[in-house]
Amino acid sequence: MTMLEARNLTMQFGGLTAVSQFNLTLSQGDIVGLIGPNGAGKTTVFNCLTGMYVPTSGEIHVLGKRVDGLSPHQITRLGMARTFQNIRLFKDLTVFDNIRIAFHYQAQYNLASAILRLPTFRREEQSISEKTNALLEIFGLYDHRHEIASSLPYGDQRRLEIARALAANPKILLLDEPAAGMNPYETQELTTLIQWVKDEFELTVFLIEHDMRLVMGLCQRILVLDYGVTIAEGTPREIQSNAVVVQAYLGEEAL
Amino acid sequence: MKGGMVRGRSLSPASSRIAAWIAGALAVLCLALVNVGVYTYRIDFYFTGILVVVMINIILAVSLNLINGFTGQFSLGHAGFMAVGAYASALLTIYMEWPFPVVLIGAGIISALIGFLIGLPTLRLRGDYLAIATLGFGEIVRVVILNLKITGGPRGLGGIAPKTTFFIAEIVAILTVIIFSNIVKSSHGRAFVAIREDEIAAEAMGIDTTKYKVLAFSIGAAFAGIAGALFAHHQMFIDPRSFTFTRSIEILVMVVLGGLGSISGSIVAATVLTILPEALRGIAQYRMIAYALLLIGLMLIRPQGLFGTKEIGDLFRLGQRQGNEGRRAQADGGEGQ
Repeated sequence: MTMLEARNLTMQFGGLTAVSQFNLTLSQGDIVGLIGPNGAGKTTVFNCLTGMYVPTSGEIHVLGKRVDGLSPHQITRLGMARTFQNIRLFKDLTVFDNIRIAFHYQAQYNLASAILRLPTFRREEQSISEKTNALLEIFGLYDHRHEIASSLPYGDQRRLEIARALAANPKILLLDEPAAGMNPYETQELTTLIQWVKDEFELTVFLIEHDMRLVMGLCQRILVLDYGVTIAEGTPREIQSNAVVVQAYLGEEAL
Repeated sequence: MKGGMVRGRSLSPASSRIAAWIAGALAVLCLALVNVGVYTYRIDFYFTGILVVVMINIILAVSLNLINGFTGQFSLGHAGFMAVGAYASALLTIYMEWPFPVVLIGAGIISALIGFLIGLPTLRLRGDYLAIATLGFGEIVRVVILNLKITGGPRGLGGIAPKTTFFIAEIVAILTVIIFSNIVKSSHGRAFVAIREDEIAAEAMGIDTTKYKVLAFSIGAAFAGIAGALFAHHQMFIDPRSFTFTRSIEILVMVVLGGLGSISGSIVAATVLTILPEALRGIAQYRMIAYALLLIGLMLIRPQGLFGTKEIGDLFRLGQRQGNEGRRAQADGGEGQ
Protein backbone atom coordinates (compact mmCIF):
# COMPACT_ATOMS: atom_id res chain seq x y z
CA MET A 1 0.00 0.00 0.00
CA THR A 2 1.28 3.44 -0.88
CA MET A 3 1.73 5.46 2.29
CA LEU A 4 3.30 8.65 0.99
CA GLU A 5 3.60 9.87 -2.53
CA ALA A 6 5.03 13.05 -4.00
CA ARG A 7 4.57 13.83 -7.68
CA ASN A 8 6.67 16.44 -9.46
CA LEU A 9 7.07 18.41 -6.27
CA THR A 10 8.61 21.82 -6.94
CA MET A 11 9.32 24.56 -4.44
CA GLN A 12 10.46 27.99 -5.48
CA PHE A 13 11.40 30.90 -3.25
CA GLY A 14 11.22 33.91 -5.53
CA GLY A 15 13.67 33.14 -8.32
CA LEU A 16 15.36 30.31 -6.45
CA THR A 17 14.21 26.78 -7.15
CA ALA A 18 14.96 24.91 -3.92
CA VAL A 19 13.39 21.64 -5.01
CA SER A 20 12.63 20.68 -8.56
CA GLN A 21 10.40 17.87 -9.85
CA PHE A 22 10.83 15.71 -6.76
CA ASN A 23 9.17 12.29 -6.90
CA LEU A 24 8.78 9.84 -4.06
CA THR A 25 6.73 6.74 -3.37
CA LEU A 26 6.81 5.09 0.03
CA SER A 27 5.09 1.77 0.59
CA GLN A 28 4.05 0.30 3.91
CA GLY A 29 7.14 -0.66 5.90
CA ASP A 30 9.66 1.14 3.69
CA ILE A 31 12.63 2.86 5.19
CA VAL A 32 14.04 5.35 2.74
CA GLY A 33 16.86 7.85 3.13
CA LEU A 34 17.30 11.27 1.57
CA ILE A 35 20.87 12.46 1.32
CA GLY A 36 22.69 15.28 -0.38
CA PRO A 37 25.18 18.07 0.29
CA ASN A 38 24.28 21.02 2.51
CA GLY A 39 21.73 23.28 0.89
CA ALA A 40 20.56 20.59 -1.52
CA GLY A 41 16.94 21.12 -0.48
CA LYS A 42 16.41 18.10 1.76
CA THR A 43 14.74 19.95 4.61
CA THR A 44 12.67 21.89 2.07
CA VAL A 45 11.30 18.56 0.83
CA PHE A 46 10.40 17.69 4.43
CA ASN A 47 8.76 21.05 4.99
CA CYS A 48 6.66 20.63 1.85
CA LEU A 49 5.62 17.09 2.79
CA THR A 50 4.56 18.12 6.28
CA GLY A 51 2.68 21.23 5.21
CA MET A 52 5.13 23.78 6.62
CA TYR A 53 5.53 25.08 3.07
CA VAL A 54 2.91 25.03 0.35
CA PRO A 55 4.71 23.67 -2.72
CA THR A 56 4.81 25.85 -5.83
CA SER A 57 3.62 22.91 -7.92
CA GLY A 58 3.18 19.17 -7.70
CA GLU A 59 1.04 16.91 -5.60
CA ILE A 60 1.48 15.18 -2.26
CA HIS A 61 -0.63 12.26 -1.13
CA VAL A 62 -0.65 10.80 2.38
CA LEU A 63 -2.46 7.48 2.65
CA GLY A 64 -4.22 8.21 -0.59
CA LYS A 65 -5.41 11.64 0.48
CA ARG A 66 -4.14 14.76 -1.22
CA VAL A 67 -2.49 16.97 1.41
CA ASP A 68 -0.64 19.80 -0.34
CA GLY A 69 -2.26 23.01 0.89
CA LEU A 70 -3.37 21.48 4.19
CA SER A 71 -1.89 22.87 7.38
CA PRO A 72 0.75 20.90 9.30
CA HIS A 73 -1.59 19.88 12.12
CA GLN A 74 -4.06 18.38 9.64
CA ILE A 75 -1.30 16.37 7.99
CA THR A 76 -0.06 15.16 11.39
CA ARG A 77 -3.57 14.02 12.23
CA LEU A 78 -3.69 12.00 8.99
CA GLY A 79 -0.78 9.95 10.31
CA MET A 80 2.52 11.61 9.49
CA ALA A 81 4.79 12.97 12.23
CA ARG A 82 8.25 14.46 12.05
CA THR A 83 11.29 15.54 13.99
CA PHE A 84 13.34 18.65 13.30
CA GLN A 85 16.93 19.14 12.24
CA ASN A 86 17.59 21.66 15.02
CA ILE A 87 15.53 19.89 17.75
CA ARG A 88 12.30 21.65 18.52
CA LEU A 89 11.36 20.34 21.91
CA PHE A 90 9.20 22.34 24.30
CA LYS A 91 12.40 23.30 26.05
CA ASP A 92 11.10 24.66 29.34
CA LEU A 93 8.61 21.88 29.93
CA THR A 94 9.29 18.52 31.53
CA VAL A 95 10.10 15.44 29.51
CA PHE A 96 6.74 14.04 30.60
CA ASP A 97 4.80 17.06 29.36
CA ASN A 98 6.65 17.10 26.05
CA ILE A 99 5.21 13.68 25.30
CA ARG A 100 1.81 14.39 26.80
CA ILE A 101 1.30 17.38 24.51
CA ALA A 102 1.65 15.15 21.47
CA PHE A 103 -1.32 13.09 22.63
CA HIS A 104 -3.42 16.24 22.40
CA TYR A 105 -5.39 15.53 19.26
CA GLN A 106 -6.17 12.00 20.40
CA ALA A 107 -7.67 13.19 23.70
CA GLN A 108 -11.38 12.49 23.49
CA TYR A 109 -12.85 15.19 25.70
CA ASN A 110 -13.96 18.74 25.13
CA LEU A 111 -13.32 21.91 27.08
CA ALA A 112 -16.51 21.57 29.11
CA SER A 113 -15.59 18.14 30.45
CA ALA A 114 -12.15 19.50 31.34
CA ILE A 115 -13.68 22.41 33.26
CA LEU A 116 -16.24 20.21 35.02
CA ARG A 117 -13.72 17.40 35.56
CA LEU A 118 -16.15 14.84 34.14
CA PRO A 119 -15.34 11.09 34.21
CA THR A 120 -14.39 11.20 30.51
CA PHE A 121 -11.71 13.74 31.38
CA ARG A 122 -10.24 11.62 34.17
CA ARG A 123 -10.32 8.47 32.08
CA GLU A 124 -8.63 10.11 29.09
CA GLU A 125 -5.98 11.85 31.20
CA GLN A 126 -5.25 8.58 32.96
CA SER A 127 -4.81 6.82 29.65
CA ILE A 128 -2.60 9.63 28.29
CA SER A 129 -0.38 9.36 31.37
CA GLU A 130 -0.09 5.61 30.96
CA LYS A 131 0.72 5.82 27.26
CA THR A 132 3.25 8.57 27.97
CA ASN A 133 4.99 6.50 30.62
CA ALA A 134 5.05 3.50 28.30
CA LEU A 135 6.77 5.53 25.59
CA LEU A 136 9.25 6.95 28.09
CA GLU A 137 10.09 3.43 29.22
CA ILE A 138 10.74 2.33 25.64
CA PHE A 139 13.09 5.25 25.04
CA GLY A 140 14.85 4.89 28.38
CA LEU A 141 13.74 8.34 29.48
CA TYR A 142 11.43 7.27 32.26
CA ASP A 143 13.82 8.17 35.05
CA HIS A 144 14.21 11.65 33.61
CA ARG A 145 10.56 12.36 33.11
CA HIS A 146 10.28 15.18 35.64
CA GLU A 147 13.34 16.95 34.29
CA ILE A 148 13.17 19.99 32.06
CA ALA A 149 13.68 18.93 28.42
CA SER A 150 16.54 21.37 27.76
CA SER A 151 18.49 19.94 30.70
CA LEU A 152 18.80 16.54 29.02
CA PRO A 153 22.02 15.52 27.28
CA TYR A 154 21.93 16.11 23.55
CA GLY A 155 21.43 12.47 22.57
CA ASP A 156 18.51 12.14 24.98
CA GLN A 157 16.90 15.26 23.51
CA ARG A 158 17.09 13.68 20.05
CA ARG A 159 15.48 10.52 21.37
CA LEU A 160 12.83 12.49 23.23
CA GLU A 161 11.92 14.23 19.99
CA ILE A 162 11.45 10.88 18.25
CA ALA A 163 9.36 9.65 21.20
CA ARG A 164 7.24 12.78 20.99
CA ALA A 165 6.67 12.25 17.26
CA LEU A 166 5.56 8.67 18.00
CA ALA A 167 3.09 9.93 20.59
CA ALA A 168 1.28 11.70 17.75
CA ASN A 169 0.39 8.17 16.55
CA PRO A 170 1.93 8.32 13.08
CA LYS A 171 1.99 5.70 10.38
CA ILE A 172 4.72 7.58 8.55
CA LEU A 173 7.67 8.99 10.47
CA LEU A 174 9.90 11.69 9.00
CA LEU A 175 13.27 12.11 10.71
CA ASP A 176 15.36 15.15 9.88
CA GLU A 177 18.99 14.28 10.69
CA PRO A 178 18.25 12.14 13.74
CA ALA A 179 21.94 11.38 14.37
CA ALA A 180 23.20 14.96 14.04
CA GLY A 181 25.64 15.72 16.83
CA MET A 182 25.77 12.15 18.11
CA ASN A 183 28.96 10.22 18.71
CA PRO A 184 29.51 6.90 16.86
CA TYR A 185 28.30 4.88 19.84
CA GLU A 186 25.08 6.90 20.16
CA THR A 187 24.55 6.69 16.40
CA GLN A 188 24.86 2.91 16.56
CA GLU A 189 22.29 2.81 19.35
CA LEU A 190 20.00 5.12 17.43
CA THR A 191 20.21 2.96 14.31
CA THR A 192 19.05 -0.04 16.33
CA LEU A 193 16.33 2.03 17.96
CA ILE A 194 14.92 3.33 14.67
CA GLN A 195 14.86 -0.16 13.21
CA TRP A 196 13.16 -1.50 16.34
CA VAL A 197 10.63 1.33 16.53
CA LYS A 198 9.80 0.93 12.85
CA ASP A 199 9.02 -2.76 13.35
CA GLU A 200 7.26 -2.35 16.69
CA PHE A 201 4.98 0.50 15.59
CA GLU A 202 4.66 -0.74 11.98
CA LEU A 203 5.97 2.52 10.62
CA THR A 204 7.09 3.74 7.26
CA VAL A 205 10.20 5.85 7.70
CA PHE A 206 11.66 8.61 5.56
CA LEU A 207 14.82 10.17 6.88
CA ILE A 208 17.43 12.79 6.08
CA GLU A 209 20.87 11.97 7.35
CA HIS A 210 24.49 12.91 6.87
CA ASP A 211 25.85 9.99 8.81
CA MET A 212 26.57 7.42 6.11
CA ARG A 213 26.89 4.51 8.52
CA LEU A 214 23.32 5.13 9.68
CA VAL A 215 21.92 5.65 6.19
CA MET A 216 23.69 2.65 4.64
CA GLY A 217 22.91 0.42 7.60
CA LEU A 218 19.25 1.29 7.83
CA CYS A 219 17.77 2.30 4.49
CA GLN A 220 16.48 -0.03 1.80
CA ARG A 221 16.47 2.76 -0.71
CA ILE A 222 18.24 6.09 -0.92
CA LEU A 223 17.47 9.24 -2.86
CA VAL A 224 20.23 11.73 -3.55
CA LEU A 225 19.42 15.39 -3.92
CA ASP A 226 21.78 18.01 -5.31
CA TYR A 227 20.74 21.60 -5.96
CA GLY A 228 17.12 20.55 -5.60
CA VAL A 229 17.37 17.88 -8.29
CA THR A 230 17.20 14.14 -7.65
CA ILE A 231 20.46 12.91 -9.13
CA ALA A 232 20.19 9.29 -8.12
CA GLU A 233 17.95 6.71 -6.53
CA GLY A 234 18.68 3.15 -5.56
CA THR A 235 19.85 0.69 -2.94
CA PRO A 236 22.73 1.69 -0.66
CA ARG A 237 25.08 -0.44 -2.74
CA GLU A 238 24.03 1.21 -6.00
CA ILE A 239 24.32 4.68 -4.48
CA GLN A 240 27.79 3.98 -3.12
CA SER A 241 29.03 2.99 -6.53
CA ASN A 242 27.20 5.70 -8.47
CA ALA A 243 29.78 7.98 -10.05
CA VAL A 244 27.54 11.07 -10.13
CA VAL A 245 26.75 10.73 -6.46
CA VAL A 246 30.33 10.16 -5.48
CA GLN A 247 31.32 13.25 -7.36
CA ALA A 248 28.53 15.39 -5.92
CA TYR A 249 28.57 14.29 -2.38
CA LEU A 250 30.16 11.26 -0.89
CA GLY A 251 33.79 12.03 -1.60
CA GLU A 252 36.63 9.56 -1.68
CA GLU A 253 36.64 8.19 1.85
CA ALA A 254 33.06 6.97 1.84
CA LEU A 255 33.84 4.33 -0.71
CA MET B 1 14.61 1.25 38.48
CA LYS B 2 17.86 1.84 36.69
CA GLY B 3 20.83 3.25 38.57
CA GLY B 4 18.76 4.46 41.46
CA MET B 5 19.95 8.04 41.13
CA VAL B 6 17.45 10.86 41.17
CA ARG B 7 18.35 13.81 39.01
CA GLY B 8 16.70 17.19 39.13
CA ARG B 9 13.37 17.54 40.80
CA SER B 10 11.30 14.45 40.89
CA LEU B 11 8.67 13.73 43.40
CA SER B 12 5.86 11.33 43.95
CA PRO B 13 2.49 12.64 42.80
CA ALA B 14 1.08 11.63 46.17
CA SER B 15 3.12 14.21 48.06
CA SER B 16 2.48 16.86 45.38
CA ARG B 17 -1.22 16.27 45.87
CA ILE B 18 -0.79 16.77 49.61
CA ALA B 19 1.07 20.02 48.90
CA ALA B 20 -1.77 21.20 46.66
CA TRP B 21 -4.24 20.37 49.42
CA ILE B 22 -2.23 22.39 51.97
CA ALA B 23 -2.10 25.36 49.60
CA GLY B 24 -5.82 25.06 48.93
CA ALA B 25 -6.62 24.83 52.64
CA LEU B 26 -4.57 27.96 53.37
CA ALA B 27 -6.35 29.88 50.63
CA VAL B 28 -9.76 28.78 51.94
CA LEU B 29 -8.73 29.81 55.48
CA CYS B 30 -7.67 33.30 54.34
CA LEU B 31 -10.88 33.73 52.39
CA ALA B 32 -12.97 32.50 55.35
CA LEU B 33 -11.33 35.04 57.67
CA VAL B 34 -12.01 37.84 55.18
CA ASN B 35 -15.63 36.71 54.91
CA VAL B 36 -16.07 36.66 58.67
CA GLY B 37 -14.55 40.15 58.77
CA VAL B 38 -16.90 41.45 56.11
CA TYR B 39 -20.08 39.94 57.53
CA THR B 40 -19.40 40.92 61.12
CA TYR B 41 -18.56 44.45 59.93
CA ARG B 42 -15.05 44.23 61.40
CA ILE B 43 -13.93 45.22 57.91
CA ASP B 44 -15.46 48.61 57.19
CA PHE B 45 -17.55 49.54 54.18
CA TYR B 46 -14.66 51.33 52.48
CA PHE B 47 -12.29 48.39 52.73
CA THR B 48 -14.98 45.96 51.63
CA GLY B 49 -15.19 48.08 48.47
CA ILE B 50 -11.48 47.59 47.96
CA LEU B 51 -11.91 43.85 48.42
CA VAL B 52 -14.52 43.85 45.65
CA VAL B 53 -11.96 45.55 43.41
CA VAL B 54 -9.43 42.88 44.45
CA MET B 55 -11.83 40.19 43.24
CA ILE B 56 -12.44 42.03 39.96
CA ASN B 57 -8.70 42.42 39.43
CA ILE B 58 -8.11 38.74 40.15
CA ILE B 59 -10.57 37.87 37.37
CA LEU B 60 -8.88 40.33 35.00
CA ALA B 61 -5.35 39.14 35.79
CA VAL B 62 -6.18 35.43 35.62
CA SER B 63 -8.00 35.84 32.31
CA LEU B 64 -5.22 37.92 30.77
CA ASN B 65 -2.73 35.34 31.98
CA LEU B 66 -4.37 32.71 29.80
CA ILE B 67 -3.66 34.87 26.74
CA ASN B 68 -0.29 36.41 27.65
CA GLY B 69 1.12 33.89 30.09
CA PHE B 70 -0.05 30.46 29.04
CA THR B 71 -0.55 30.96 25.30
CA GLY B 72 2.25 33.53 24.95
CA GLN B 73 0.22 35.95 22.82
CA PHE B 74 1.06 39.45 23.95
CA SER B 75 -2.26 41.28 24.25
CA LEU B 76 -2.66 44.86 25.43
CA GLY B 77 -6.39 45.03 24.80
CA HIS B 78 -7.81 43.75 28.06
CA ALA B 79 -9.29 47.10 29.11
CA GLY B 80 -11.15 47.11 25.79
CA PHE B 81 -12.86 43.79 26.56
CA MET B 82 -13.53 44.98 30.09
CA ALA B 83 -15.19 48.10 28.65
CA VAL B 84 -17.34 46.02 26.30
CA GLY B 85 -18.54 43.93 29.25
CA ALA B 86 -19.07 46.94 31.50
CA TYR B 87 -21.16 48.88 29.00
CA ALA B 88 -23.04 45.84 27.70
CA SER B 89 -23.98 44.80 31.22
CA ALA B 90 -24.94 48.31 32.30
CA LEU B 91 -27.23 48.66 29.28
CA LEU B 92 -28.75 45.23 29.90
CA THR B 93 -29.48 46.17 33.51
CA ILE B 94 -30.83 49.63 32.71
CA TYR B 95 -32.93 48.85 29.63
CA MET B 96 -33.71 45.15 29.86
CA GLU B 97 -33.76 44.82 33.64
CA TRP B 98 -32.41 41.29 33.43
CA PRO B 99 -31.39 39.53 36.64
CA PHE B 100 -27.75 40.11 37.51
CA PRO B 101 -26.40 36.56 36.94
CA VAL B 102 -27.91 36.59 33.44
CA VAL B 103 -26.42 40.04 32.83
CA LEU B 104 -23.00 38.73 33.86
CA ILE B 105 -23.25 35.78 31.49
CA GLY B 106 -24.55 38.06 28.73
CA ALA B 107 -21.61 40.43 29.21
CA GLY B 108 -19.25 37.45 29.03
CA ILE B 109 -20.78 36.16 25.81
CA ILE B 110 -20.74 39.56 24.11
CA SER B 111 -17.10 40.13 25.05
CA ALA B 112 -16.18 36.63 23.93
CA LEU B 113 -17.78 37.29 20.53
CA ILE B 114 -15.84 40.53 20.17
CA GLY B 115 -12.71 38.68 21.29
CA PHE B 116 -13.31 36.03 18.66
CA LEU B 117 -13.83 38.62 15.90
CA ILE B 118 -10.75 40.60 16.92
CA GLY B 119 -8.65 37.49 17.50
CA LEU B 120 -9.26 35.90 14.13
CA PRO B 121 -7.34 38.50 12.08
CA THR B 122 -4.93 39.88 14.71
CA LEU B 123 -3.60 36.57 16.03
CA ARG B 124 -1.82 36.08 12.72
CA LEU B 125 0.53 38.73 14.03
CA ARG B 126 3.30 37.90 16.44
CA GLY B 127 4.95 39.60 19.39
CA ASP B 128 5.21 43.36 19.12
CA TYR B 129 2.84 43.52 16.17
CA LEU B 130 0.09 41.72 18.06
CA ALA B 131 0.66 44.04 21.03
CA ILE B 132 0.19 47.10 18.81
CA ALA B 133 -2.90 45.65 17.12
CA THR B 134 -4.59 44.83 20.44
CA LEU B 135 -3.59 48.23 21.79
CA GLY B 136 -5.34 49.73 18.77
CA PHE B 137 -8.40 47.60 19.46
CA GLY B 138 -8.61 48.91 23.03
CA GLU B 139 -8.44 52.49 21.80
CA ILE B 140 -11.09 51.86 19.14
CA VAL B 141 -13.48 50.52 21.78
CA ARG B 142 -12.88 53.60 23.91
CA VAL B 143 -13.39 55.99 21.01
CA VAL B 144 -16.56 54.20 19.89
CA ILE B 145 -17.99 54.44 23.41
CA LEU B 146 -16.99 58.08 23.55
CA ASN B 147 -19.02 58.83 20.43
CA LEU B 148 -22.13 56.70 20.86
CA LYS B 149 -25.31 58.19 22.21
CA ILE B 150 -26.49 55.11 24.08
CA THR B 151 -23.27 54.94 26.13
CA GLY B 152 -23.59 58.54 27.24
CA GLY B 153 -20.40 59.49 25.39
CA PRO B 154 -17.82 61.36 27.47
CA ARG B 155 -20.39 62.11 30.18
CA GLY B 156 -20.51 58.44 31.03
CA LEU B 157 -23.30 56.14 32.03
CA GLY B 158 -24.80 56.54 35.50
CA GLY B 159 -27.62 55.08 37.55
CA ILE B 160 -26.41 51.49 37.32
CA ALA B 161 -27.92 49.44 40.15
CA PRO B 162 -25.26 48.49 42.75
CA LYS B 163 -25.62 44.77 42.29
CA THR B 164 -22.01 43.73 42.81
CA THR B 165 -21.86 42.67 46.44
CA PHE B 166 -18.69 41.30 47.98
CA PHE B 167 -20.34 37.89 48.00
CA ILE B 168 -21.08 37.91 44.26
CA ALA B 169 -17.65 39.25 43.35
CA GLU B 170 -16.05 36.59 45.51
CA ILE B 171 -18.10 33.75 44.00
CA VAL B 172 -17.35 34.84 40.45
CA ALA B 173 -13.64 35.19 41.24
CA ILE B 174 -13.52 31.70 42.79
CA LEU B 175 -15.37 30.21 39.82
CA THR B 176 -12.97 31.98 37.45
CA VAL B 177 -9.95 30.56 39.25
CA ILE B 178 -11.43 27.05 39.25
CA ILE B 179 -12.37 27.24 35.58
CA PHE B 180 -8.97 28.53 34.49
CA SER B 181 -7.05 26.05 36.67
CA ASN B 182 -9.06 23.21 35.19
CA ILE B 183 -8.51 24.47 31.67
CA VAL B 184 -4.75 24.81 32.00
CA LYS B 185 -4.45 21.40 33.66
CA SER B 186 -6.02 19.62 30.70
CA SER B 187 -5.04 18.63 27.22
CA HIS B 188 -6.46 21.96 26.02
CA GLY B 189 -4.28 23.81 28.52
CA ARG B 190 -1.24 21.91 27.31
CA ALA B 191 -2.10 22.99 23.76
CA PHE B 192 -1.96 26.63 24.89
CA VAL B 193 1.39 26.12 26.58
CA ALA B 194 2.75 24.25 23.56
CA ILE B 195 1.95 27.27 21.40
CA ARG B 196 3.84 29.52 23.80
CA GLU B 197 6.83 27.20 23.87
CA ASP B 198 7.15 26.55 20.15
CA GLU B 199 4.39 27.26 17.70
CA ILE B 200 5.90 25.28 14.84
CA ALA B 201 6.47 22.20 16.99
CA ALA B 202 2.95 22.52 18.41
CA GLU B 203 1.53 22.59 14.89
CA ALA B 204 3.68 19.57 13.95
CA MET B 205 2.24 17.69 16.93
CA GLY B 206 -1.27 18.05 15.53
CA ILE B 207 -2.35 21.11 17.50
CA ASP B 208 -4.54 23.54 15.57
CA THR B 209 -2.60 26.61 16.68
CA THR B 210 -4.93 29.16 15.08
CA LYS B 211 -7.95 27.62 16.77
CA TYR B 212 -6.28 27.54 20.15
CA LYS B 213 -4.95 31.08 19.94
CA VAL B 214 -8.42 32.37 19.09
CA LEU B 215 -9.90 30.18 21.82
CA ALA B 216 -7.53 31.61 24.46
CA PHE B 217 -8.34 35.10 23.25
CA SER B 218 -12.11 34.51 23.38
CA ILE B 219 -12.08 32.89 26.83
CA GLY B 220 -9.83 35.67 28.16
CA ALA B 221 -12.13 38.30 26.63
CA ALA B 222 -15.23 36.63 28.09
CA PHE B 223 -13.91 36.86 31.62
CA ALA B 224 -12.60 40.38 31.12
CA GLY B 225 -16.16 41.23 30.10
CA ILE B 226 -17.56 39.61 33.23
CA ALA B 227 -15.05 41.56 35.32
CA GLY B 228 -16.17 44.71 33.52
CA ALA B 229 -19.79 43.92 34.37
CA LEU B 230 -18.92 43.46 38.05
CA PHE B 231 -16.97 46.72 37.90
CA ALA B 232 -19.89 48.65 36.37
CA HIS B 233 -22.34 47.38 39.01
CA HIS B 234 -19.87 48.18 41.75
CA GLN B 235 -19.03 51.73 40.69
CA MET B 236 -22.64 52.44 39.60
CA PHE B 237 -21.16 54.88 37.11
CA ILE B 238 -18.84 54.19 34.17
CA ASP B 239 -17.19 56.48 31.67
CA PRO B 240 -14.58 55.89 28.95
CA ARG B 241 -11.79 57.14 31.25
CA SER B 242 -12.10 53.95 33.31
CA PHE B 243 -10.99 51.86 30.36
CA THR B 244 -7.91 53.58 28.98
CA PHE B 245 -4.66 52.01 27.92
CA THR B 246 -3.40 52.57 31.51
CA ARG B 247 -5.94 50.02 32.74
CA SER B 248 -4.62 47.39 30.31
CA ILE B 249 -1.11 48.11 31.58
CA GLU B 250 -2.23 47.76 35.20
CA ILE B 251 -3.63 44.30 34.48
CA LEU B 252 -0.53 43.37 32.52
CA VAL B 253 1.68 44.44 35.45
CA MET B 254 -0.26 42.09 37.72
CA VAL B 255 0.21 39.20 35.32
CA VAL B 256 3.92 39.82 34.78
CA LEU B 257 4.60 40.44 38.44
CA GLY B 258 2.79 37.30 39.50
CA GLY B 259 4.45 35.23 36.81
CA LEU B 260 3.44 34.65 33.20
CA GLY B 261 1.85 31.22 33.29
CA SER B 262 1.00 31.05 37.00
CA ILE B 263 -2.59 31.41 38.16
CA SER B 264 -1.53 31.57 41.81
CA GLY B 265 0.89 34.33 40.88
CA SER B 266 -1.88 36.37 39.22
CA ILE B 267 -4.08 36.02 42.29
CA VAL B 268 -1.34 37.12 44.68
CA ALA B 269 -0.16 39.97 42.45
CA ALA B 270 -3.71 41.24 41.83
CA THR B 271 -4.40 41.23 45.56
CA VAL B 272 -1.15 42.91 46.57
CA LEU B 273 -1.18 45.52 43.81
CA THR B 274 -4.79 46.49 44.57
CA ILE B 275 -4.33 46.80 48.32
CA LEU B 276 -0.84 48.29 48.23
CA PRO B 277 -1.74 51.79 46.98
CA GLU B 278 -4.34 51.95 49.75
CA ALA B 279 -1.91 50.70 52.38
CA LEU B 280 0.59 53.30 51.25
CA ARG B 281 -1.87 56.16 51.70
CA GLY B 282 -0.04 57.03 54.93
CA ILE B 283 2.89 58.42 52.97
CA ALA B 284 0.53 60.43 50.77
CA GLN B 285 2.26 61.97 47.76
CA TYR B 286 5.15 59.51 47.78
CA ARG B 287 2.99 56.43 47.45
CA MET B 288 3.13 56.14 43.69
CA ILE B 289 6.92 56.49 43.84
CA ALA B 290 7.09 53.74 46.44
CA TYR B 291 4.79 51.61 44.28
CA ALA B 292 6.96 52.14 41.22
CA LEU B 293 10.17 51.42 43.12
CA LEU B 294 8.68 48.22 44.45
CA LEU B 295 7.80 47.09 40.94
CA ILE B 296 11.26 47.88 39.59
CA GLY B 297 12.88 46.15 42.55
CA LEU B 298 10.81 43.02 42.14
CA MET B 299 11.49 42.83 38.43
CA LEU B 300 15.24 43.13 39.08
CA ILE B 301 15.22 40.40 41.72
CA ARG B 302 12.71 38.09 40.06
CA PRO B 303 12.35 38.87 36.35
CA GLN B 304 10.23 35.73 35.89
CA GLY B 305 7.64 37.13 38.34
CA LEU B 306 6.85 36.04 41.88
CA PHE B 307 5.84 32.54 40.89
CA GLY B 308 7.43 32.04 37.47
CA THR B 309 5.32 29.39 35.79
CA LYS B 310 4.80 27.53 39.08
CA GLU B 311 1.65 27.30 41.16
CA ILE B 312 1.36 27.51 44.94
CA GLY B 313 1.24 23.71 45.19
CA ASP B 314 4.60 23.42 43.39
CA LEU B 315 6.30 25.77 45.84
CA PHE B 316 5.58 23.45 48.72
CA ARG B 317 7.54 20.74 46.94
CA LEU B 318 10.84 22.58 46.81
CA GLY B 319 11.97 21.22 50.16
CA GLN B 320 11.69 17.60 49.09
CA ARG B 321 13.31 17.32 45.72
CA GLN B 322 15.20 14.15 46.54
CA GLY B 323 14.03 10.69 47.35
CA ASN B 324 10.81 8.86 46.79
CA GLU B 325 12.46 6.92 44.03
CA GLY B 326 10.94 3.64 45.12
CA ARG B 327 7.43 4.90 45.38
CA ARG B 328 7.32 6.66 42.05
CA ALA B 329 6.57 3.67 39.92
CA GLN B 330 3.23 2.75 41.47
CA ALA B 331 2.01 6.25 42.07
CA ASP B 332 2.10 7.46 38.51
CA GLY B 333 -1.40 7.14 37.14
CA GLY B 334 -2.81 10.18 38.88
CA GLU B 335 -0.51 12.71 37.28
CA GLY B 336 -3.14 13.95 34.88
CA GLN B 337 -5.39 15.24 37.60
